[in-house]
Amino acid sequence: MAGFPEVFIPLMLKGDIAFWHDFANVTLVAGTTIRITHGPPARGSYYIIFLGNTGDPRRTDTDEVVRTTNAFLRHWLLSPFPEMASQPVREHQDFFMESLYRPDYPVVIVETFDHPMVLEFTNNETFNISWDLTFWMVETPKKVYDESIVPYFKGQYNLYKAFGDPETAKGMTEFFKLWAREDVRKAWLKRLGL
Amino acid sequence: MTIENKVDVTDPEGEKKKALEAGKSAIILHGQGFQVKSSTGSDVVVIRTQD
Repeated sequence: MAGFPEVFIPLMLKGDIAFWHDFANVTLVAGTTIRITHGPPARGSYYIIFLGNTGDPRRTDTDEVVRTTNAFLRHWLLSPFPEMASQPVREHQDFFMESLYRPDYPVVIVETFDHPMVLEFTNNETFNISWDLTFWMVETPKKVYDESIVPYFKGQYNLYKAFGDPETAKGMTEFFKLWAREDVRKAWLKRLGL
Repeated sequence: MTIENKVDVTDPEGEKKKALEAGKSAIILHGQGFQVKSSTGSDVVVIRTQD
């Protein structure tokens, strides 16, 4: 999902979904864990939340970008993918490492009345860390979610699956590594007749 | 640990600086749907900007 999900544009124009944007700056003193929640939406509605990195996590004392496994974001996924329905809510942990900082690696969280979004930020380093985040928020009725959005997510899932294991994000990582190469992009577009 | 809420803040960076100087963590939030539920390791100041 290297950019704004295309499926939302016609749905927004039709008035089927609402879209808005929020942001947060999280500054964690060394040795701190903070848990935040959001929502939930009304029963029968879904929030789809794209959490993205708008400024790499930095030390507050030196302003250096932090790359460490001693600081991380934990969140709980209500998977949008039907293939993962057997494990609908999973815990996921993103370390403050290179892969998390890529602009094309948003965390996608589906939120319902029974499964509000929970984010937990931990800094186990010896210095303070500050991180800028952006949230693209979409509110959709279940009918629109089932009929228009799940098929889109399913297509994304199958795309990543073609490159590896989507559950471990390896497929996504491999996809973006390859897609960053101009020769690969050109070959794909040629195959598609574009 | 304590969670202190500040609303309609016009100088969020200034409030964040004050929190850090006091040894507290800080979260600047734009959006009413977010809530800080807990903090361990340090107190936290929740800084809500004006919409």
